Amino acid sequence: MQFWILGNPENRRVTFFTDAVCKAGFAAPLVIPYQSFIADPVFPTHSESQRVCLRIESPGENADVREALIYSGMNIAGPVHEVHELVNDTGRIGFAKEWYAGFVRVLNQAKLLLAQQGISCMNHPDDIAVLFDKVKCHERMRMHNVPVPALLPVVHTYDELREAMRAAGINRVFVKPVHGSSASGVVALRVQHENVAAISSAEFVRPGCVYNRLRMQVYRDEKQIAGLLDTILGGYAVAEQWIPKASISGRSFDFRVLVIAGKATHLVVRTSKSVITNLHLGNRRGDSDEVEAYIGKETFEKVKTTAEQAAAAFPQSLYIAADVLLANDKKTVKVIETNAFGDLLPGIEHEGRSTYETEIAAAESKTKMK
Amino acid sequence: MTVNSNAELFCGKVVEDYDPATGIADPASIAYRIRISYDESETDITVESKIDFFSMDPKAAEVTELIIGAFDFESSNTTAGIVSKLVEIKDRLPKLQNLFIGDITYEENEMSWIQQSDVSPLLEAYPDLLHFQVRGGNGLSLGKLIHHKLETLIVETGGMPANVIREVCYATLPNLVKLELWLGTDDYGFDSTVDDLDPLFGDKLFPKLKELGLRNSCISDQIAKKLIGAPVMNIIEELDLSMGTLGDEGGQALLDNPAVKKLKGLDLDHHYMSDAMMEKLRGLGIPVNLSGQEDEDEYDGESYRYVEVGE
Repeated sequence: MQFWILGNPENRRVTFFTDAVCKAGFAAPLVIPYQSFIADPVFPTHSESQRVCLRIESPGENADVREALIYSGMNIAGPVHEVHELVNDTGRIGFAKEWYAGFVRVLNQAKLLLAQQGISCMNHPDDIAVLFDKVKCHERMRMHNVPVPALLPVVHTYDELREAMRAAGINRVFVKPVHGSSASGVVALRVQHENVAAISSAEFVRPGCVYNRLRMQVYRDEKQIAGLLDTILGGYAVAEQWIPKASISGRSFDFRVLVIAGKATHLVVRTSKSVITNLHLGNRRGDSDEVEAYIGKETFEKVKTTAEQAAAAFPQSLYIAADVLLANDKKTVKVIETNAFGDLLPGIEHEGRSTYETEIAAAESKTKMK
Repeated sequence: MTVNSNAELFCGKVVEDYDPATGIADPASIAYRIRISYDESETDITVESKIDFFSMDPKAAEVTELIIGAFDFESSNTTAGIVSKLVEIKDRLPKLQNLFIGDITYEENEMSWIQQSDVSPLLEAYPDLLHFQVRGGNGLSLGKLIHHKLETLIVETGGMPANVIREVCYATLPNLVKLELWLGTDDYGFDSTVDDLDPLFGDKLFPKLKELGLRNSCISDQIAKKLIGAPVMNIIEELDLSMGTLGDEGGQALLDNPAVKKLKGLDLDHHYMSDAMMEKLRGLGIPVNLSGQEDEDEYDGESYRYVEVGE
């Protein structure tokens, strides 16, 4: 079998996967750079006898690719001064809708070529498009009876958000950019009487200007909070119920569970002193044995089966990473995030194999079955 | 920084959430916590109704520990209802010795938003209490604080209101061995001066005191200075100034205080002292906890120190 990767060649995701493919005894994957695919959406040719499996990787961590996707989403050839400035201004949040439109165009082109050339894929472009849209994803989860936190109706301003919270009787929410990934632009907001507090790694500079930073800060000035949320919500975001997480040894925790071919395999406990547990923000991995002992085997299993349930909502895809929350009652389990590219978990093994090695083996047995 | 996990141990016992379905299993080795989950907060279930259930359990009469955790996620009730419920069922918990009201983490609520109330009826209703602990200073009152058996009093706040400090300073607690106050900062309601703490520095207020904790304070340096020559230093064995804003000034005051060398323990975790000062304190010849060295934040040319738990 020959693997192809649609990805950013310089990215460690591509290198790690390439290493795993070679280790499994296959020829090194052929890398199709996003940059060239966006400009000229074609796949290489291959002989009919050759079985090809495409892996679509994250287009992230590459400013040029981000810029190209935004122009594609805007239906222009570029360059636009404003966009160019933004993508080169590290951490600045913006043009998410346009980026998403550009990314969906790439995914649709890939889908077409997959069908035309009779190529299989690891994760399906249609699923990836849904996984990068939190509104659609939430809908999909609910359709499959996966437990998820309640979502408020989509709003565009801070005032509308407060009104929607009042109407729903919810005092604590996570606001998440619909097309966002990781903790970028996520705001934890809670209110009590005249008090309001927002916790976020987003730094509010002025209306319309927000940066994603690596440090959490707490906002208590409502004017600032309104400015921050007007900017984030204006760029298309959703608010979901903020359910307090379980905690151990001074840190709250949740789970990143990778599901490969329907089975929960690699698991990471993510712990944090903050309310946002994303691993990029100085948070760290917890000891999964310790956590298992603390919450009990049954609950630990429930975390894994719930992740499998979430992955089952994407039957066309080989691997899905679900972020699973355990509430502070140590019983309630909810899926808070599903990720198309959540398998970059260096050092985490399942039955002696890395995430990529397990995926490659699963892809192989899947093609053999056909 | 914030309180990030619930109590896992309480007065030597493992903490477990009370589940009305399974009841009280082993009060000799488990400390039960009564709280509502986020899902339950959307139903009619309240902490008060769970307390009622708990107290009617056949084993309630054996219970010596009780923790009240998160009681409210949405509508911001005060603890007043919980206090009167606990008073109402006092005869069903005849052996209760150790009580903690407010085992609530930052995930569950901002510490400064926990709506406390006058908790003094509890001390009156439970004359056999040995340990009383409360978290959250908002609305808190200890009333006329009189209790003849209480050995441990812990009041955790992000900003201790003046009335609470006054109530402690005028308390009658003849058996108090351990006092721990989280004084907090003016950002969250601390509005006293170090002079307002004067009665705590004497040896008459709590004659049996062995452990004094003036923690999480924005005036740690001033407290350290006040302790020079303070009579309380002659009776206590352990001093805890952790979680606060202690800097070199306070560190020097501790060095200059001969009574410090007689202590069995000095806890200064979370401080702003220099390496050189830490080195000098290590030379005191007593166990000193110096972990958690913090850096001041610079903003607009001003330096800022923070207590460990404000929010």
